[in-house]
Amino acid sequence: MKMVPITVNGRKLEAAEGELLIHVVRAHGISLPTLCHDDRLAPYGGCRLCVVEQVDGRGGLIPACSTPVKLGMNINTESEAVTEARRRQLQLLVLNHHMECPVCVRRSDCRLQDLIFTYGIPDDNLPFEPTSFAPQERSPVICHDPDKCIICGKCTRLCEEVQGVSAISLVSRGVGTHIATFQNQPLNCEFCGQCVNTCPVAALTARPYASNVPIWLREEVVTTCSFCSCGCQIRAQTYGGVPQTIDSAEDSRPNSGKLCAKGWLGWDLLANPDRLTKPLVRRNGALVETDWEDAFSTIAKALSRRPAQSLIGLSSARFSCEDAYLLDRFMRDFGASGLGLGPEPGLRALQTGVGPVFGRPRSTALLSDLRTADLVVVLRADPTASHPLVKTELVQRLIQDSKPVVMSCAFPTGLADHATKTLVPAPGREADLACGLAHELHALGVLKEATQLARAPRWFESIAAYEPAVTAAATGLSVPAIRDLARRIADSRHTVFVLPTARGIAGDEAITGKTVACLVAALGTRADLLVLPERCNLQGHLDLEFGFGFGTAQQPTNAMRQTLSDDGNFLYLLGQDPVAGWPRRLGARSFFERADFIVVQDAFLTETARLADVVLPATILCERKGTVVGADGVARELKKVSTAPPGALDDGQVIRRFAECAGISLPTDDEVRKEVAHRLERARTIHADVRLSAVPRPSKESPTLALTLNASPQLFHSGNVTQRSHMLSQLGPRTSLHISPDEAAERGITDGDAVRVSSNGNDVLMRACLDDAQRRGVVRMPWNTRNDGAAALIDAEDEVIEVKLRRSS
Amino acid sequence: MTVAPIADHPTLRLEREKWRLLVQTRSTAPDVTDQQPFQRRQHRVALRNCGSTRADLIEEYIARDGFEALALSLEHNDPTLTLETLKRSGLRGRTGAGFPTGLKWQLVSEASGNDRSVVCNANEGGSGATLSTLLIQNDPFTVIEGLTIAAFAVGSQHGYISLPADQDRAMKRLSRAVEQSRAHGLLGENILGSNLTFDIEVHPSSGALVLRDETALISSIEGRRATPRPRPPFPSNHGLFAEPTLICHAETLAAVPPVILDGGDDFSAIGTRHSCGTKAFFLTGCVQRTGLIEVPMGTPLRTVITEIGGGPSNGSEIRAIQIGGPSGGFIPMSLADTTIDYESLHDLGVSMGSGTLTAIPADACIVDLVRFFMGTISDESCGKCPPCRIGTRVMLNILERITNGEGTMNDLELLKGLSAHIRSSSLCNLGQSSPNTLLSALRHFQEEFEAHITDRRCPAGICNTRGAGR
Repeated sequence: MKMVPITVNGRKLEAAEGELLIHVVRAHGISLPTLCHDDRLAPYGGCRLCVVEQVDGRGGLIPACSTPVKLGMNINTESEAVTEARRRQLQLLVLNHHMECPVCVRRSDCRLQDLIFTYGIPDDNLPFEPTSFAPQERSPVICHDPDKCIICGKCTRLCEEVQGVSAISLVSRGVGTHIATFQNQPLNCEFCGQCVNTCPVAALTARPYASNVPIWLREEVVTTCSFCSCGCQIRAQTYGGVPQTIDSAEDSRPNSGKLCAKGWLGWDLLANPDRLTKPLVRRNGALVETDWEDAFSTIAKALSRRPAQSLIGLSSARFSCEDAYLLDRFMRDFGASGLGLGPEPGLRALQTGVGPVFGRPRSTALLSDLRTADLVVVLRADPTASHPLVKTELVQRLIQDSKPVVMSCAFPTGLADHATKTLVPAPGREADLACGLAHELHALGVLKEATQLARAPRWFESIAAYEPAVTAAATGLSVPAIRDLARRIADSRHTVFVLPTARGIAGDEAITGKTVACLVAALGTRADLLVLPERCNLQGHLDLEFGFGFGTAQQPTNAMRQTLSDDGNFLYLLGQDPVAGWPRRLGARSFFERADFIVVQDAFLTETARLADVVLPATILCERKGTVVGADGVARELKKVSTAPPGALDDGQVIRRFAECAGISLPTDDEVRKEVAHRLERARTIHADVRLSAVPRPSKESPTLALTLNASPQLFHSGNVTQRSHMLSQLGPRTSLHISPDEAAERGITDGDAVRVSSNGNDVLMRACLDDAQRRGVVRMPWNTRNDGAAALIDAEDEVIEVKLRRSS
Repeated sequence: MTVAPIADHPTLRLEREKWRLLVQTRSTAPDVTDQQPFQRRQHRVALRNCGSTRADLIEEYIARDGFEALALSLEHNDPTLTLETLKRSGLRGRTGAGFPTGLKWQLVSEASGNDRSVVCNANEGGSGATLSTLLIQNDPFTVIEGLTIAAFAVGSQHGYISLPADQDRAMKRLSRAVEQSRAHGLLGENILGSNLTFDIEVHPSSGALVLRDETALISSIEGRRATPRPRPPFPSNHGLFAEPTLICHAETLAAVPPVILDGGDDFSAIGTRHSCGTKAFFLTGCVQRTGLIEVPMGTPLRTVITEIGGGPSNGSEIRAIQIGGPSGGFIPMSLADTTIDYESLHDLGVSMGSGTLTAIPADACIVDLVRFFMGTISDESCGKCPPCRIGTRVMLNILERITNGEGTMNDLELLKGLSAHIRSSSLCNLGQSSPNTLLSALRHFQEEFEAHITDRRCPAGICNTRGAGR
């Protein structure tokens, strides 16, 4: 962009021609008041507070938020005319603003009030009767007070331009203008909370965050959201260790202030009354409450009676790097026979799929690439529910940047409404598509440089089998659709492939990860890969090389299964609930029946904990501190926001106490921090050669199944943790079986019927929900619910599940 | 494909001859003669067919040289020639600032984009019939032809005509006219055998005042709430669906076919040096003859009122002329020799606005009329920016206070101060021009405001100056 001289308040500045004046002025440290401007949105020019005076030339007031810089521009940001206009503007705004400031929930945190403090308002008494609207309750979470609304329109624009939902809009005219849902229906949206967080006054507030504590008594902590692997930064205002409000700052990275329902509202699960506050010990067959001393002496006794090799650890990818390192160190030093993660979504895609290709199990793309790349291709799953930030980034890319996103996913949901193109292949056939694309791109001459890579000849040989017709048969897509996508990739200078993972998505994620990684590697600098693990610190665990003893891999492969199924094991389970959370057919329950002694460390009395000998109450989510590494491979800090309930200990402390019982001394916190930093740095900077290995033969044409099960997470949750949040449970769709009305009618099922869903001899009982958005031939249910879910039917490695439905009386 | 010589286009020529004969023998509507006093001082270009053809028959339009200008443009097959003709004619946009039409079309034709649109704006925001809706109701085909020529000139395939949905008759006739044009191959693929492919979608609008703003109209056609957005980017570069877009008033488009046919010189010979051609108005108020009129630019207002309108009706007296509706202004009869052209009206602080001319009788209260217009503006404000949304309502409240006999002299200062603020701070032209009527009234009839305030008396006896509650 061309730099041109301009004058601001008499100062000569250089500015990029065409850039918005407000950005230039603010970048030079000159403040400009606004109520309607938001850098994340298109220029709006509604509040007229950012007006500046043109000193030379045409004169008059111009809005800085929507005026581009021109050569020789000379403006004054605080002239008398400017201040007078702002004072008048503020006066007009407060005329139609319900002034109950002393008792307002935003009384100490109101943008309108701040500006009136700064500029004041004229003292002439203008006749005006404030518009009064009838109160309307449209949501259990979001409280709307139209009498306080100043019509800045930020909420409606964020909802449309950023979230892509358009649940609310400005309606009516003149002083009757207000925000409303379509036809005043109850608010039915994604509950991302952005409308509330952006509201400059108290027109939109969140019921759970209606705190009476003045802002100057609150402590502000910025931490990383740990619900998924996006790494959003959240801002908590706490008082006495209790979060009063949760939101996110506009300048936070990577999320720019955007949140999802989980990250905004899910935190009430910390205060769930079901939280464990005392250790439990099994006495005479029943779990009874006890104190920490007793719990650990029980553990010490149990440890002393068994050989060290009988100890096996299973942890979850939600722990911080520091706690993970401590655990790993303890288990190794003690001589345990194995430590690993459960069947974590994303683990096999990264470790078995991507790792061997790139020499390290890491994604190569950053989240910011989602906006800048020429093309984004989303494969395998819709990130709307599992990784909401990725979805909003892609929506912004589509709506604001007008850049293309192509999605290939068997069960498209929210993003499909916006995507440039949505391909719907047979479930679990993305690996075939990746190979077919490689074949086409090779034919287009785009992959020439890849011939230099290690083992490339074998790869080129193997993709030769993926003729377009073969790929079309394997994926169920048309040849032109595959060719079109290949052409789009060939025409882009930079393509980002996104691979979301979540429980129960059809298709072997290791093979998908590998084939896509090979394609990305062969494209060289023209492509990058972003694998999205489900849990917040899976990448951190991989970077630390966490785990040992289950063969080469940490996943519950046959090696892990074998180890687990040995008799007489001492199992230490941290944050894992295999009985309820693992695919039922992995047979977790049988391991526990064989195990000799089980210690479970968790925040709730999970299904697994009910079988344990000792249960240790632990911290979760933002009660933890340390480092987590997000899907993009960036390390972020986890700060303690909330105090754990009395009686629960930090996970690190529990691990240390456990180690003491075993007579192992662990490094100090400082040493742990240093070692973690060292290992993360090494993982980040490791250089390895790219190796392309042969891909499997194309899949056979997929069989036509009468009814396929889609276990994708419903709007807010897969259920493992989030079902403990009262807030999310009441917002989310009821945990039910979503079925298209036609399909239901054929089976004599009506809305709300109890339906027995069966597959391969397993069955679960669900309530039917007739859903117009549901495609024929597919039923959808959540992975995990309080009384079963898709987990009871699915084996994670299964390609695709056919289910039968029967109405149950 | 090869382009057929269009002047000899068999369909069009045969049909024209056939229907010309038929029209003569059937004589569905009497031709208006120049002898009628209502017609004598008029010069009809845009309104040339209004009242003299059956608006719902494409045959009658064709018989009156209809689609001849389109055929001529297509025959030359040179959009720059069409643009040159328009520029030579001196035609300017018929609302607001009067931007030169030829230049506007050229900007759109030169803008980079893939899928540009042409839009006819027939929204004037008045309640009931307006100039545009009456024009479309009386001669829908000329607007269709004008828009098709515009599409050819700027290289567009998609046209929209935005018309208030509540204008049943205009809507019905326009929809039928579009269908008939399609049936005759005058819309659709390869129009008249040329390379031009173009079709028109009728956009039933809310008819809101704010739709006069081009960016608000774009939002509305896109299916969003009709609110203006800041410029730049201008619609000519970044308009409907983010593509270059040409937006023209119905009256401007109606003048295009005659302009193209006469090569532009005849049109530019009419009117004044800077305001060429003719201007249509919706003449109403206390004159003997009301209706759609069209006069050469430069015609004095007095001529329109006394000769075309036939002077005051029922022996009343005309004290002022209101021009341009809510965002126009008042001109006292003492200034009635002012000529109708962009510059002279601008000097008086008024604009042609919605194209209405209302003769105000002596027994009307100017303050009450200002209050009425301010009420319309306040109700019609799109609500986006506070000066217009709240400011106009405050001004309305002050005006009500004055008409209720509760005003103070300070209220006039408040009104002037608020007017200046609204004018300098509003986002769009409608907000900025909202104090125009008030300011023109204050300029020419301040004593009438003062009578309401100091004497607590309405000189016309219209306002109840004994207070709102009494």
